[in-house]
Amino acid sequence: MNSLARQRNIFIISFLFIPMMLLLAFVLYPTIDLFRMSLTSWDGLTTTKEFIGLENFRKILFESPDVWNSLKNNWIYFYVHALFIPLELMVAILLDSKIRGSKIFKSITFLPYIINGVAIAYAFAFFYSPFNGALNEILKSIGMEGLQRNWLGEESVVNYSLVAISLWKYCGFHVILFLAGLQSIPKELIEAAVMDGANAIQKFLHIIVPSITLVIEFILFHNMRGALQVFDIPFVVTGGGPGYASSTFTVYTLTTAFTYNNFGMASAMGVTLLFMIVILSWLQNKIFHFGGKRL
Amino acid sequence: MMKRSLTRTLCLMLALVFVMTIGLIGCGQKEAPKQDAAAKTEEPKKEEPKKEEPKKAESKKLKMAMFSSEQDATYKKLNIVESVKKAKNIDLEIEKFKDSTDFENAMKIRKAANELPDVFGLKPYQLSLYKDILLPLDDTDFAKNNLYAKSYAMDGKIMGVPECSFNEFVWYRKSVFKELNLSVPKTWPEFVEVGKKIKASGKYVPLLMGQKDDWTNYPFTEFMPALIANDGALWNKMATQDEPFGKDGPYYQAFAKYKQLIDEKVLDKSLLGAGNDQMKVMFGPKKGAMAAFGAWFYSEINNQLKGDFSDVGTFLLPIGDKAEDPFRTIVMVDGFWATPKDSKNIETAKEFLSWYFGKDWYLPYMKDRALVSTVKDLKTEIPAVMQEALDAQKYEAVVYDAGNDDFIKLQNATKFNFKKMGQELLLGKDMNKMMDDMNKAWKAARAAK
Repeated sequence: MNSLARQRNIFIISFLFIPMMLLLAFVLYPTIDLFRMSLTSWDGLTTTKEFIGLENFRKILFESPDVWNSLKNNWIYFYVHALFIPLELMVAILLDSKIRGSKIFKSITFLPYIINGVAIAYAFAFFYSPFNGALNEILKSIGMEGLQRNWLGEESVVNYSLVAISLWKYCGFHVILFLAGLQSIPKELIEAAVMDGANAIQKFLHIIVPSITLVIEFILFHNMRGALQVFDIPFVVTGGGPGYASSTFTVYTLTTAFTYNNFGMASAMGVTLLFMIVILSWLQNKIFHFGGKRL
Repeated sequence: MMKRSLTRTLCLMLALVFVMTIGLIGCGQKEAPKQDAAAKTEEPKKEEPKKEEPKKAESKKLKMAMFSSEQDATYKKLNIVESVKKAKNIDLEIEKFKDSTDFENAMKIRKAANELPDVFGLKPYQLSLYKDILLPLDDTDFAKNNLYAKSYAMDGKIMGVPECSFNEFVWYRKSVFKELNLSVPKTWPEFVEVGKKIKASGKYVPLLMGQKDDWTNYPFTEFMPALIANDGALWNKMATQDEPFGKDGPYYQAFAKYKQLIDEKVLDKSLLGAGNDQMKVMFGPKKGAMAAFGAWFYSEINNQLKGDFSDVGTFLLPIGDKAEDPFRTIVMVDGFWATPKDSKNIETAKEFLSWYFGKDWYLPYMKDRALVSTVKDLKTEIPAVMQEALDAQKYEAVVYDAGNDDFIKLQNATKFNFKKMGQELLLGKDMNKMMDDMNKAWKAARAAK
């Protein structure tokens, strides 16, 4: 090995050493431990961890209706967010055009994403309050008292109230991602299309969308992963209640671990979530690339 | 060729990194017991500071964990850190947690990691969870002098020493009662009637219970079954039964009474949309008429009312159907100070707790918190606003026991959560089905033991 190659090796290894070490310590080792714990009946308190094989997974699949009810709530987050993705793209296109004050609007759009999630959750808890809560007061002041609800206390409404907070927080992030994608489209391409007589819809369908498929793909994945892992908003705003009405898969996992001292089962739920994300991502990818090309 | 060599070198290095990382993580886990062992073997060395005068002046360090905001306020007001430094030369580090849930979760994680603080205050139901890792305190003066410590012993050993006992009250605004021509209820039907009248006025929330936080229903879902059974250790008894949620049982009966409040609209679904933080602030501005909480509520509303309790009254929650029924009330013993047996500062922890339960700190502290003393010979007076409830009614005290090991195991196995059940009842769920389901799950869990 010549000196240049050796130097290059040393350079690569020394740069990889620390990140690899961190990755192994904080990602790989906890993941292996999670798999190990999922096969035990550990209560989180005693030192003994009895091996019970796949019993926890059997219970999740066949004896835990609450787990699947919680998962239904995750579904609400998924489809409502998915419905908003076209709107997010429209806003991004609007902000990408030369409108006055677009920079300020971009900042405002992104602001909710950088505000602390717990602070947002607390603020919305007061916003939705049935006792002088701002939302009901606004509806009253504009003469729409008929729309007033117990936003966090009704089973049929509570999940949508929480999804609205999630939309408020994450839509701006998606808009910024779309904007980044839009700004990467070469201007010449658009100009050439205009010269060829393409109208706005043709430009959108044949130039913009194909140019930002990677961004769309990422946002779809982010939406699916986020919907399955949603935790902070329901946990802080309602604690998964009333009853278990707004509990999500992750909130229920935490309840299983800390309220019912069943860390083995909670770990199995963590593993199940991991597999769900992998399978759904694969499925989404297959649909997106249906027929050998991107949709 | 060179590519292969590079790949081989990289693979070797990454394998080395992997082995080193796993090794380091493994070592990290073993660190705590090593420290414990060191702490144990260090004991003979403790003689050394006695010989060397200057080392005596070295301050001792102690970590303590707590979650109550009222406790924190009093600690700050009376400056516990400075007081214990002055009295015992102990550098006290206090870890605070947002609420009891946060505290409980953190302690569980810390227990698993063998990194518990030197002293921490447990809830009574946590004693059985932690008993295996706690230091028995039977030989300490503060445990011997405590009125309740022995009653909460685990397997005959005192694992935690409670700092306070308190009663449960219904707090009410006198002017609202006067305005609506209401008198203090002596029976459960009278209590329901009072609630109905307040509701009918349309001006006030009858009972300020922020049910978005499920724990706020505890006077009804947790304590009332024990009161009806006249047995503070009802949970332990239920752990010996196959179907304790039947119609003849105290648990069902307590829930039936709670349901009456819901059926009569004294409690309505709007309460599910607001948490305790939002509801308790309505007591000061008189937007609500009553609140069912323990003595700890005194310090919660003290600031709201700026110390003026002239318009506030209290009464004990009546549960009897007739005036001649025995009047029972829950006495809650709380704040069980404990120390892990693996703590590196066991002697300092004992010294600290001995000081904590001594009259110089304990009496002013209890006075500020308006709680009842648990220490023999150290009596504290509770504020007049609460004393009036205790004087107005002859009662039998039922000392609450939060449940033994058997109960906790069944509770975890069946996911029995009385607070959530209370929430679901308010949501309109079928009570009989809830109780039937619980009976089935309970029986199955007992059979699987």
